[in-house]
Amino acid sequence: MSDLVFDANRLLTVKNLYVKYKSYWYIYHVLNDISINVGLGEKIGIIGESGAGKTTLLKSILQVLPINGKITSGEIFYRDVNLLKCSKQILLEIRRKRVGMIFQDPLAALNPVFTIKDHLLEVLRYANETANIDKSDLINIALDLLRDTLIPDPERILNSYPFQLSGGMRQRIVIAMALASARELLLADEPTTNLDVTIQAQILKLIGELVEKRGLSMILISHALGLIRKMTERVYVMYGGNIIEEAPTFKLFNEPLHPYTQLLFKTAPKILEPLSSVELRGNPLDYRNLPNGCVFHPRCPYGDSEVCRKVKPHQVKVEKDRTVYCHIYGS
Amino acid sequence: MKEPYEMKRCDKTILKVEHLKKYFNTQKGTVRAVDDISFNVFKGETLAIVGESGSGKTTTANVILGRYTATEGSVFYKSIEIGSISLTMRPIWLRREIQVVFQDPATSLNPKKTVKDIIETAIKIHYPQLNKYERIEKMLELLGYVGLTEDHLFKLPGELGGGERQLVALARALATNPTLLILDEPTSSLDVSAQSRILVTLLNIQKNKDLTYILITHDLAVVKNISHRINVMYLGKIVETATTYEIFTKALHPYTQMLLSSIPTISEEESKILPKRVEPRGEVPSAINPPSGCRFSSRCPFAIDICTKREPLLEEVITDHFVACHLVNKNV
Amino acid sequence: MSHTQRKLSFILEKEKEMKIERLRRAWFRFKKSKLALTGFLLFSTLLVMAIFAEFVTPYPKHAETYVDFKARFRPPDLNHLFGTDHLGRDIFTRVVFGFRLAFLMIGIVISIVLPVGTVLGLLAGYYKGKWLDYSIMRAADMFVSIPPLVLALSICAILEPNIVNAMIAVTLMWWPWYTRMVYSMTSALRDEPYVWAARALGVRDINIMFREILPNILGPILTKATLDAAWVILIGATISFLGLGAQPPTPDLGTMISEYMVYFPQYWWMIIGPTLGIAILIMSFNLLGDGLRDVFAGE
Repeated sequence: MSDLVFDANRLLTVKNLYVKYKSYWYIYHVLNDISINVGLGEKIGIIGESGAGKTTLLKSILQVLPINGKITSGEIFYRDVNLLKCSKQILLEIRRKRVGMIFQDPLAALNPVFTIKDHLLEVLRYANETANIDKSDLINIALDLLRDTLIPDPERILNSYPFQLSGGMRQRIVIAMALASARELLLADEPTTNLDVTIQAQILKLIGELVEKRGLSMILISHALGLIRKMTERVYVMYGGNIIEEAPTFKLFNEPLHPYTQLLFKTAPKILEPLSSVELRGNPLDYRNLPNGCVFHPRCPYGDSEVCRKVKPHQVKVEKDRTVYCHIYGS
Repeated sequence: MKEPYEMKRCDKTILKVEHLKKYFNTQKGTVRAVDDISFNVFKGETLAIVGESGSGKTTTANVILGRYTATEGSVFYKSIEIGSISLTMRPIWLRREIQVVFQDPATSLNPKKTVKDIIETAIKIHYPQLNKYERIEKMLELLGYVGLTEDHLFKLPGELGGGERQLVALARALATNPTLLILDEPTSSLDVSAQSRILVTLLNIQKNKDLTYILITHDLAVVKNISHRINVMYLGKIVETATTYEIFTKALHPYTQMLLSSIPTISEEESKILPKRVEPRGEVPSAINPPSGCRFSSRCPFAIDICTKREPLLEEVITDHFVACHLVNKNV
Repeated sequence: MSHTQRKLSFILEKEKEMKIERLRRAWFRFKKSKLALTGFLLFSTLLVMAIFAEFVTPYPKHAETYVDFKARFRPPDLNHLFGTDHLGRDIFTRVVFGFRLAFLMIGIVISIVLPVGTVLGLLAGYYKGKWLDYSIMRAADMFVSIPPLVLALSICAILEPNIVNAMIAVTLMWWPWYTRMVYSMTSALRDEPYVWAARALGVRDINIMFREILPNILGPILTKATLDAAWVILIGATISFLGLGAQPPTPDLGTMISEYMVYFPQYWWMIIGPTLGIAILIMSFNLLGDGLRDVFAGE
């Protein structure tokens, strides 16, 4: 396993994270032994189907899990600060000034009774707490932010309420807010899903440029494989709350190793090939009752062997920068 | 490039839209959601209507379904004018033949009803002669078409995944044995594996039951895989219409090229096939005050003088390939 | 039975099981809240006491016309838990019979207002924008614009003051609130995709209202009914208190308070009886309503 010596180039380290959601009747094992790391200026992608725990992972990093979500074990280090044990002050500082998050549902992320100006000013004020900036300057910064995200007529938008704006606008505002507080790390959870494809292209270009310009690290979650290919350097594949494969982006897209990843690429609707009739057999996962052994084995085309059914796969370092969690590649 | 679909040329026109207009009156002015479009739908094909938000594609589907009535123009279904008849006024046989699958699976199923209740409602209306047992048989049959099992019967929509909910919505629509199925962004809220499942299911059912689909979407990868022909809409007008193959290999209208070039590609090969990036200028104009002349002129990077003066008409530039653009049309 | 028939019966069996399971879960959710459970127990106890008043109370005859001057103004003791009143009647007994009247009033009022208000609200909300909507909602507005107590009192003053008319008054004053709530919920739901899907299937409007929309708004309706019951009791008691409802010697809680009020503070215990009775009654309904709200919210 990775050493605990703090690498000066490491921004975020998640180690053996377990997260559970508790309802009165059941316990949902959403994250099981997740370990990821993000280097300075590195752009990471996380892919997996809905419910695989991707959003939960991001929320755990910022400690914004819902009430019934609990981190039951594991560690999260931001640089050398243990986020699970640090003081509230430090956590707040990290949230306000170092890390920005783009949430999946912009309507839910914006408070309907506040104007966009209120939202942006609040974020900017926290982000620039120490520097004593005038309110009028803050408004200018806000206007610049809006212009950066290609929002037309920023003055009017600034004084509007969320319900007056279209979905695409709202998403751009959420992106603007995240960029305001992201000095080191940007967490993006499906940032462009509800946007039109042309706006999506523009926004992605914008995010890409800003990330480059500021040297930000980024964790991008998307189920759109094309997005991941375009925007990330390294990818983690998640299934059933586990990381099942990790590789540099181009290597993953060229040659996916894990059977799930292979199926994912095969079944995704593509331009060049007709739809594959290969289907993921079996049923979606029940997180209350995860399978024994390899979490993917009931649906895996090669998953009928005894070892798959009984033993959870260990990390297999296939190459220097690639790991797979699958018995096919050794244990 | 391999052609995944043969153009299913069928002379039986099942739906004919003629000079359809749908305007909405709002406080800010009249929104011209659909502004004079005409197209045909042939039996057994899948016609995709593609466009971004504000293009009028959803409104068109809603007029066909009957949620709205046409402001002007007509919609002929099997030679009967239905554009002026709202859904609640339509006779039962018509409702049976035109069915719909909505975009958001979370709200297209009644959250308080089990899958069995949802489908049974449909069966009770259209097969009143069946008894209790026969209804269940029919339900299992319908679930079988979409790849679901009897285990799903007693679940509430909240207990199903997004993809499964869409399948239930599809099963419900199929209960009436429809001829025309309107699919309103069926895959937009789903992740990739659920998308693939729905699409494969749709394809199989279409073959088995000779269904006609009108697919509304903005996802071009989906379009490529299941549709025969495509109408590209922009701000209430059809700007290009052709077979899927033609659109993907020979897109002529700048807007279509822009759409195609914006798709994030999965592989190098895909990037090579699609047009190079067409950068739009400016913002999307409002449907209340569309630009004069060609509606796309304010964003088109190739706009010339005449584009802002005269509106281009849909003209057949190649066989079965129609474009509305001054740069492309012969009569400039 | 053939194989398929067996399978189909099995499926129907399973459906019944599932429905029972869902009810069990709802009950469990309800039980989870200690307050709700308390409210339910309290409510059931009071209800049972009210129904079987003759058997539960020590002096059932005191609930009717009864006078015993020797027993007047006795302070609370083991024979008379709340003491006796100015006519020598056992106050505890009268309070329990008062519960019976209160439950009766709630029962009758709710069984009229709930269906009528809900149906009107459904109609108005579903046919929003049509004349049905306007006529129903404007009628509701008319009733709502008059302060509830004033309305109730005027009706009772015009008609003969007795319990039945008090109930009529409360019903008339109460239905618009229901209709409004149902109206707002219905008009929010009437354009949901699943309602349109039902229309596309050819489901008739009536069935859409009752089978598609109503199940989704039942929760708040029932919760409101329970919480409102407390208000009904209060308004009813106020009407009686002012002399326009139940007339003596009928053991109505409000009437009792107005009767016993004049003897305060000399015979202070008298007024405690009915007041405590009303308080406990109202509390039980409130707790019950809270519990119901949690059950429905849990879904």
